[in-house]
Amino acid sequence: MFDEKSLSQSQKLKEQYEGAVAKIYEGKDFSSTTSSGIPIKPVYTPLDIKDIDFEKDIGLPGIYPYMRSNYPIHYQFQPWINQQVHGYGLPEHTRERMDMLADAGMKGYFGGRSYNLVWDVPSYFGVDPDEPDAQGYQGKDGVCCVTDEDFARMLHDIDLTKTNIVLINGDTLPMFAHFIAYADSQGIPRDRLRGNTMNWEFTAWYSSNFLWETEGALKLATDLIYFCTKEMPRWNHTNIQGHGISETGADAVHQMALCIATGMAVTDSCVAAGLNPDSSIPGIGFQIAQCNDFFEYICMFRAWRKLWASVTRERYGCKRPASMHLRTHTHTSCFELSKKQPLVNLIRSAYHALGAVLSGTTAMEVPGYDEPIGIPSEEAAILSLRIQQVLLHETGVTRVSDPLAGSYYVEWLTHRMEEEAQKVLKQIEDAGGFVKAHKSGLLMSHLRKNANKWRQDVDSDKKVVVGWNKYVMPKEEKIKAFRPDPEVARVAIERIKAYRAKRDQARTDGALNALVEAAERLNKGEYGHVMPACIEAAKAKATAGEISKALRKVFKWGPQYSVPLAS
Amino acid sequence: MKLQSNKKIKVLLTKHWMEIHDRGVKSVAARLRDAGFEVVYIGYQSPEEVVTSAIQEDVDAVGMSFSTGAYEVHVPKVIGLLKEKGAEDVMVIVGGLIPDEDVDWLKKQGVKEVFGAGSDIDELIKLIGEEKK
Repeated sequence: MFDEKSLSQSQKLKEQYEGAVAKIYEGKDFSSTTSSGIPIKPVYTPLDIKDIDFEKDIGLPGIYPYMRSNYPIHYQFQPWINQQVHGYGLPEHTRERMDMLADAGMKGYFGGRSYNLVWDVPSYFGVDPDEPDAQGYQGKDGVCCVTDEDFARMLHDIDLTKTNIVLINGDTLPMFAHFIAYADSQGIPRDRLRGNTMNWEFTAWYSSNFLWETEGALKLATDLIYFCTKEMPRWNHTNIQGHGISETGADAVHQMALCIATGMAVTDSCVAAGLNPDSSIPGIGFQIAQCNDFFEYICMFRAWRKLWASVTRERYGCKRPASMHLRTHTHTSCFELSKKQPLVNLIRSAYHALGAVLSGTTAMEVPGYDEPIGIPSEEAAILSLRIQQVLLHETGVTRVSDPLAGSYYVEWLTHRMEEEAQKVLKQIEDAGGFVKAHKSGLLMSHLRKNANKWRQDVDSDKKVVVGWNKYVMPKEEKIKAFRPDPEVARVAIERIKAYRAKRDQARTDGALNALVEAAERLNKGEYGHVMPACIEAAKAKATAGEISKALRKVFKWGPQYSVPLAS
Repeated sequence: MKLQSNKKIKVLLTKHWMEIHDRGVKSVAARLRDAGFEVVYIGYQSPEEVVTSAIQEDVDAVGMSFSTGAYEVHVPKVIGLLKEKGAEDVMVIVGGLIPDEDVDWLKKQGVKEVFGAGSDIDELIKLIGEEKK
């Protein structure tokens, strides 16, 4: 990128600089490392990026490999959308928070509405609110929504053809079936629905060993994708959970590499099911964690765009730009937030959000400052939105696309992050691919080791957390936790019992039996039957939990691997 | 910090199988092991399982970790069952996302101490080490 004259000038100045450093600082070494361990120097020059090719490795926004942005013009035309997660209590309680956030300015695409809805722990795992396992958990950290009637309570009077609806749970198919059953009952054509499902059937990243066993999970996830490519081509069917991986312990390099490897595993499964990658890949999105190490995570994000574009084009032969684009939802860091002096979390989150904007993300959620205490209070939820609104309207950083491009440090580190991620991808390939690497515990053991090391570093004061191990206050302001209505469990149980009592039980049983048959066909590799059968079961008034249990008659559910605690 | 004891103190750490985020409790487990405790970790389905495992494993202390308010239901059950089965000398500790205003209530139920997010693990090690030596 630089001519001989510039390079020799740089060399000359570099030597002068190094001489000055040795003299003034008496030989002290100021090198350090990024949070993922990449060694870095105190300053960068053209010499550090002389071998980088502008066209192939940097380029311009909207041109393959899209490192600088998916789009030629980005925020100047359409800002990232606010995708603040919300959900608690009964569906009508969550609707209150939806309306409150929309009134506070939460914006979707082109100024429209967008709701990022999270399900409670039991719904996450296909457990109905009246089951023994659900006791104590109903509606506490997400919405308790398990039937089409619950969807009506939450989404009534919302134009689903103009609103982006994100549905967050782990056991996706049963819940998605009820959403579609609700939409059908409102006469909305399926291909006009807009939003996201997570499709997290197989991603037991963030601890739980309980979800579908990996191979069966991939089949279920692929059947959902298969259904979407045929009936809901605009629907974003799958979310690769980078934030979850980061929260469990992945550093920036591993977050990127493991997500790309997961995306490849999903796509390989789709290809085996007979799907064209250009029809399945555009519905995949990535949930990306933006953490403390400011420049590292920006460079990770840029490298990630480049890597994903090259994987989709080179490995899968994709032709559509939509397949090569890295569709991203940023979830700024939670594990780095502190319970001590919690208002300081606003400051941390603001920096994380700035990093995500300088990275060019397409959607964002910022946790509440009360994240270490509970789910967001109204005040915390609004402040998280304000962080994004100040960035958008007051800082001016959105006027120029990929504004850090050309920085010697940023281009050097972006290139290094790509190299490090490639090493991990090779490691996964050598281990026999993502599924084998995941099941062997290889991937999770890295996450655990890294999480333990982080905690050791904080406990030994090697890593500073302001207010926790440095600048500690003797007296702490008490922040009250937000609590959903205490009557939620009682009402949810009454409702689901009433739902079952008034249904045509013979019809429900018939639909669940048909679902089991469809699952058996899926297990033999026949796609296209399970998702429609789930929807029929939902229309026959089977609850989400009952649909899940029908699937469990065919697909194994339970601990998938055992990894030693302290590695 | 290492334990000053010849006896191997045994601790059961546990989260409900539906509890998603276990980074914290797993880091605590690693620190306890490094400090010389014997640590058993289980994911439980019913509070009864916690008590059965605690007795089977003959532990000195049980640490239950919660990301949501399920402790309101599960903790009194576990403490009640431990008493019923003659194991009331097992120390019960609670961790996770526990609002400050619930700490007194938990202690009234019989919880020895609450070590929630941001707690000092050395204090936890000291507490169990001194009480159970």
